[in-house]
Formats: sequence, structure tokens, C-alpha cells
Amino acid sequence: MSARLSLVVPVRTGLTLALVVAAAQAAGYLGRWVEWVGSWSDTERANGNAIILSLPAAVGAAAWVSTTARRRRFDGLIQAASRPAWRISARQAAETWLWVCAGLLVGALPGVLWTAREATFDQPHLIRWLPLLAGGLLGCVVGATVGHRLPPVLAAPLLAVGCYVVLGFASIEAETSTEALTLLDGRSMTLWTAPAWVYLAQAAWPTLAAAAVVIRRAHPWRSWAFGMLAGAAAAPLLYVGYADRRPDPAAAALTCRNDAPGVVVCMPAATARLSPAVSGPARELAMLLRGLITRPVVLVNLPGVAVGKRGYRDVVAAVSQNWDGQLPETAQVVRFSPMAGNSGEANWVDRDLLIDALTRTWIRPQPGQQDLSGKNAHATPDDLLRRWVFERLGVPLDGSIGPGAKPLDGSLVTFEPLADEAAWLDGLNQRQRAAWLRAHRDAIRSGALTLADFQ
Amino acid sequence: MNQCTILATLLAARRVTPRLLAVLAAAWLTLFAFASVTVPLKYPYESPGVELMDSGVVAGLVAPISVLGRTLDEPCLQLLAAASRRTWRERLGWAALVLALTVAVTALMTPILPRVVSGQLLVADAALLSGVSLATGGFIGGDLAWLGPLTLVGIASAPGLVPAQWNALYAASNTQLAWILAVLSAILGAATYACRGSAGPQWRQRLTQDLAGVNAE
Repeated sequence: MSARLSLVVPVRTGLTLALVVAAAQAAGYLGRWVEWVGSWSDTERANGNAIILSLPAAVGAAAWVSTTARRRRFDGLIQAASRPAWRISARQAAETWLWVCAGLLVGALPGVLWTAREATFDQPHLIRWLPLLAGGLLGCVVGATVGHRLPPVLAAPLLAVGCYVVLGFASIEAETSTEALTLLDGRSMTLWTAPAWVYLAQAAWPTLAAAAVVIRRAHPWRSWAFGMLAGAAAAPLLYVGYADRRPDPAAAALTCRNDAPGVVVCMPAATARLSPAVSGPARELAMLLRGLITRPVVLVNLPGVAVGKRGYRDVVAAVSQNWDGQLPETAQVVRFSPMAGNSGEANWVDRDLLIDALTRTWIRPQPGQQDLSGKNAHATPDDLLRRWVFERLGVPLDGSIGPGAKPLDGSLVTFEPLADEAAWLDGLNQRQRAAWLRAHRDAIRSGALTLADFQ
Repeated sequence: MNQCTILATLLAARRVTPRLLAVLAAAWLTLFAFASVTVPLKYPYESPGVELMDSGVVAGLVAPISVLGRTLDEPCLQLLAAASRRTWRERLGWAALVLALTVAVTALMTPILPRVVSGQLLVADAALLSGVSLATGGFIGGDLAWLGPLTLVGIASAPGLVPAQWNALYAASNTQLAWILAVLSAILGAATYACRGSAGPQWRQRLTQDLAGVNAE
């Protein structure tokens, strides 16, 4: 005897669709893992953005299920059924949505587990997942409804493609829209937060739209009235969501750690787990440039969003307040960004960019010289020294490490006239090098190093 | 039978109906009209000479290719099985026609698109996706021929999943890779379809037999 709970969507079909949605969801965010791993707010945001792929999959899945009867030529039975066709369709959409939800959660699981393993700050917020599930609901209802009007075999691909294209278009400058209406937002959330009701509002929109579509199908004459009511009810959401993404003071609170001798790293609490990734390269650099770097170093990452425009003294004060250990009076405080050029909010550390930025701190760049043709500019002494550092630390010389990085591979400036100096620098042992760096410390730091100093 | 009758019969057997042609035309026109409007809005600051590929345009290509994929289905399996002549020539011819139509229409409509979209890459993408559609049709049937191109576009469009320089569908700076893959895909797709035909009915038949066997047990 068959079970009372008979499913319109067969388990086998449901499982297949859930797997497809899970794969789409996972593909939508796993590729850029470096941007979210270890940060709950970024993981949740990345999963929300993965809807660019999982929603088309959900729409296609719903369309595929809704056209089953026509593809298998038993749609006449549905038309002749005692229950109205819209109820069967609504149930199909609801069951498909449950499978889609299962797929979305399975697809999100790798990211959640990975972040749970890495995160040292914050915790998951279930409410932030509501917009994703509500988006899936709308996708299923739209897929089931519109799928009815398309050729049965082509409904799924056409709707999936259409959904992707529309989502892609809707995502243009989406971050400038109100928070409640921003479905796709590529901005970092590492140091930011939004109140719970913003996520409720984000979930309310697609839920209301899905309800409107179902009611329109069930009672066409009531659709206008419902649309008006839903619009009136949802109108306040436009206002409550405006500009409500705000810095999270707990995430931005400075946390200092001393993971390597002579290097203290102070970072916002949300990214404090990255301290070893900063202190490691900094320690390597300090060891290489012994003689030039003579004092303990305090590396401070104070993103603008966290502190506003603080001066050097404020930075030192902030470090002192948040450092349990004894901050050496002679320590040199250096501000840095984990990823140059993005106001220091990133959730990852780019080793090469970090070394480049720190090298510029201690080896001051000099203005270059160009020949009359404007080509073959000669490398400056600091170029030579930095190239030597990069070679030792395995940093690419071709300028590919990021915007603003000067190519030191000879493509922009020529090192040929400095071949003797380069050979001399290479020939120094560790003790000789430290002595030379100590002797020319002021010149190197002030950008006054000359070729004559290479002896 | 005169030539026209033969052609009409062939087209009917291939499901080429006025409705399918209308859907196909609508898919092409919608794609290019939508791209003409949205691409300039998406990339308003691109300097002249810069060429790229918009994900909406690439995904949109799947729509007409899916419609054409319907014509790969061979509904009269029994007739084909009992045919006295080998069918690979007709299948190969049809595959070539599908490929040529896809590439030609894309190439013809490329000038309509904003200059920022790489025309060469778009045509290569069309050939690549069409070839994948043929191969998919050969393996799992014409009904599901869209599954291959749709999956490929999904993988290529997933943020950061495929390194930019190896992402043939989007690497406007490396159209050579896209063309190599397009030619390979077209040849392999056409060959697969010519050898296997629309595997869908056979696949379904095997499935039905399997299920019948399970029920009998």
C-alpha cells in the first residue's frame, strides 16, 4: 500500500535536481575561496552571491518538473483531475523548493565546514541564509508557472538561461541599491554587519512575489488586489534597508599577537587569525635585511572603515591599548594593508604584495631616470636592492603581483649598466651584508642610495 | 518523390516545424537585442580597442543552441534500426548544418553587438557550444542536448573556478585557445552524433527494459 504522503516529484527526480542545485551553489562561491574562508560574514555573503548560478538551476529544475506531464503526455489527466491544476502546480513547486533547499544547503556545506574550521571570530547567523532560501522559492514558483507556457523540453534551459542573464544584468552596481534590495553584493563583509531585519526584508521580497504569482494563477481576479496589498505592505522595506550596512566594532577591534620574534602584528579581530601569514613574511624580510631593520617591528593593519582618519600617534595609542605584552619603546610601528589598494579590508593576506609594501617601507623608492627616447630607463639603486630582495624571497619580478608594482625583470627598466653592482651584492655573505646595510641605513631609508655605495 | 517532398519529409522528421523556427528566431533576436542594450550599460568605461566577453552573451548563446538541439532527436528509432542504408551520412550532414547555422548566424549578428564584445571569441564560443551540444545529443539524446552546453557555460561562468587564461569561453586575450577547442569540439561532436545518432530513444528504451526487469523480479 502506498504511503499517505504521496509525492508529486519522485524521489529520484528530486535527488537529481537537488544535486544539480548543490553543484551550482558550490560552484558559485568555491572558486573564490580566498575571499571568504575563515570569515562567517563573508562566507554567508559569498553563498548569497552564489545564487547567480543556483537560482537559474532552481528555476530550470522547477520548469523541468512542471513540464513532466506534457513531456510524458499525461497532461490530459491533470486537466481532468478533480483538483484544480494550479494546486497541483503549486504542490509541484513546493516540493521542488524543498529539494532545492536541500541542494542549496548541501552546496553551502563545504564553505560552512571550511570556515568553521578556520574562523576564530564570530559565529554563523542562520537568519542570513533566509534570502537564499526565499530566492529559491521564487525561482521554483516562477519556473513552474512560466514553464507551462514554453515548449516542454526547452522550458528548463530557456528559463535557466533567462534567469542567469536577468540576474547578471540586475547585479550591475547592485551595491549602490538599498541593502534590502541588494540580492548580489560583491563587497567585502569582513568588518561589516547588517541588522537582522535587513535579511528578513531581503527574504520578504521574493516570498511576497512568489505568493503573488501563486495567487494570480489561482484567482486571476484577485491578483491586482493582492499586488496592491503586497506592494503597500512591502513599501516600508524600501526605507528600512537603506544604508544599513555598517562597520562592526567588534570585528574591527584591534588584536595584537607576537607570532614571530621581533615582529608584533596588530589586526582587526575579524582577521586576527591571519597574523601568522603576516608575521612570517615580515620575519623573513627582517632576517634578510638585518642591519637595515634594527628595531622590533609592530605591523598594524587599521582599515579606514575601523578607525577613520587616525594619525600615527593614535595608531600607536591603539596598539598600546590592545597589546597585553610589553611594547618595546624602540619598536617601529608600520601600518600595512593585507592586500594593497583595497583599504585594508580584505579577508586574506597576499604574501607577495605584503613583501612589496614592506620593502617600500624600508627601501624608499627613488625617482627613475629615462633616456631621451623614453625607453630603456635605467634602474635606480633601490630597484637593484629590491630586485635582490624579491629574488631571495621568491617574489615575482614581472610586476604581476598587483597594481602599482614596478616590474623589476628588465622589461621596464634596464639593469645592464648595474651588472657589476648586482654581482657585488650577490657576493656578500650574511655578515658582510648586514654590515653594509647598517652603514648605509639612512641613505637606503631616505632614498639617497647611490651606485657608489655598492662597494 | 521530388526533391521538395524529400526535403519537407526530412525537416518534419527532424522536428523542424514553423513553431520551432519561430522559437529559434526569437531566441537569436532576443539574445542580440538584449546584449545590445545591456552590454553598454555593463561596461560604460571600457576604452576603445578593449575586447572582452560578457557572461550574459555567452549564457544567452545556449538558448538558440538548445532550440537547435531539438532537431537532433530521432523519434523513429525502429525505422532507423531497420534502415537498409547507413545513416551516418545523413546525421553528419545534419550535424554540419546545425554547426554552420549556429556559426553563421552568430557571425552575421556580431556587428550588431557593441564593440567591446569580442566578435571572434563569440563565434568561437558558438562553435564550441554547438559542438558540445552535438556530442551531448549523441550520448544522452536530442531532448537533453542542451545539458552539455549549459553545464559548460555554468562551469566557465562560476567566479574564479577556472583560471582566467584557461577559460576558453571568456579569455578574449586568448582567442586561439577558444578556436582550437571550438574546432576540436565541432569535429568530435559531429563525429559522435554521426556515429551514435540521437541516443535518447535507445537510452530510454534501455532504461524501460531495465525497469521492466526490476519490476519482474
